[in-house]
Amino acid sequence: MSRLAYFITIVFFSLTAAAELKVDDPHERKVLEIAAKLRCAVCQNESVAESRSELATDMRAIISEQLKSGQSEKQVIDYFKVRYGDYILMKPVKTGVGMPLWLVPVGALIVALAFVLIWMRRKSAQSVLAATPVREITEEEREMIERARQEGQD
Amino acid sequence: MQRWAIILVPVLLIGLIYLALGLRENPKEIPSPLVGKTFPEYNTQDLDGEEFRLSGIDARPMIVNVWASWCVACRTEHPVINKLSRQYGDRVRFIGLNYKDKLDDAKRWLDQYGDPYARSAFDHNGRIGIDLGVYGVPETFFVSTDGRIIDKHIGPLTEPVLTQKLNELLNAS
Repeated sequence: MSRLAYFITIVFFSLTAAAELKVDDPHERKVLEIAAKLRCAVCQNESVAESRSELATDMRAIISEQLKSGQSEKQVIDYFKVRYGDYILMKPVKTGVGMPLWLVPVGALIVALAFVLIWMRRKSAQSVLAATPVREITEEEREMIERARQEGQD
Repeated sequence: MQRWAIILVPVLLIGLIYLALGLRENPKEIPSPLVGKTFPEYNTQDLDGEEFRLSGIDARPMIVNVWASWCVACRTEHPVINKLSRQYGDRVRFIGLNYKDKLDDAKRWLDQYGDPYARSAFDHNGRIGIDLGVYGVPETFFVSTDGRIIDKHIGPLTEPVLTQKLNELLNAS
């Protein structure tokens, strides 16, 4: 049973992989590349390249037309950004309200690493202390300490 | 341990508040960046096949209601638009934008459910719709006399909402 499921999964994924690779035409590929950066507005978290919705189909057609008329990738993306807002971008913007989205994970990682580092240092310091056998101080040393204390008070 | 808590608790709290606020937003309502901008001008055709220059600049403010015969939610808001068009039609232009429809279906739909629009632009391939950032129907734009989009409503309008928005539109114009 699990072998069958495994087999079906493999077949399924290799088919989808094959479907993605089928696009040979460089123009078509560019269209899909741009479409993959745009969010399908009616299907939430699916890109325009993946969606079968009518809006996504129309948007792909518009991307294709605009590319053919000589527009750059940035111009095409901006066309949709002006009309649908930053929402249309699959990757959130890096400035303004989108900035925390990019900074918080990095910040959290740095803080977490710092914590781990501090923790590890403390641990190793403790183990060094624990590993060192404590020796009674000698009379000579005791006098040295006393002298130092006296000097400190003066 | 307590020192960690002093930092961690506020951070987690802020995160939770952020999340709570985010969850309250309706992901189906995308705020339009076009609000505040000028309503573009379109040279198109109406449902009778006549030239129609759709523009925001006019003596009267306008609402542009994006609709389609295949749109189920449009049917629920249609009686509201019919009714308020009778009340406000002399002060506000009620314009329909028939989105991705078949001409015959669109005309039959208006025959059947009533035609509240002064005119309906025919956007058979949806290009005007996409140019206006439309992603679902019904959607309604509120355009003041200077051609500025002052508001956009997504989804079916109810009578109180449309009444309020029409009054706001009249006040802004």
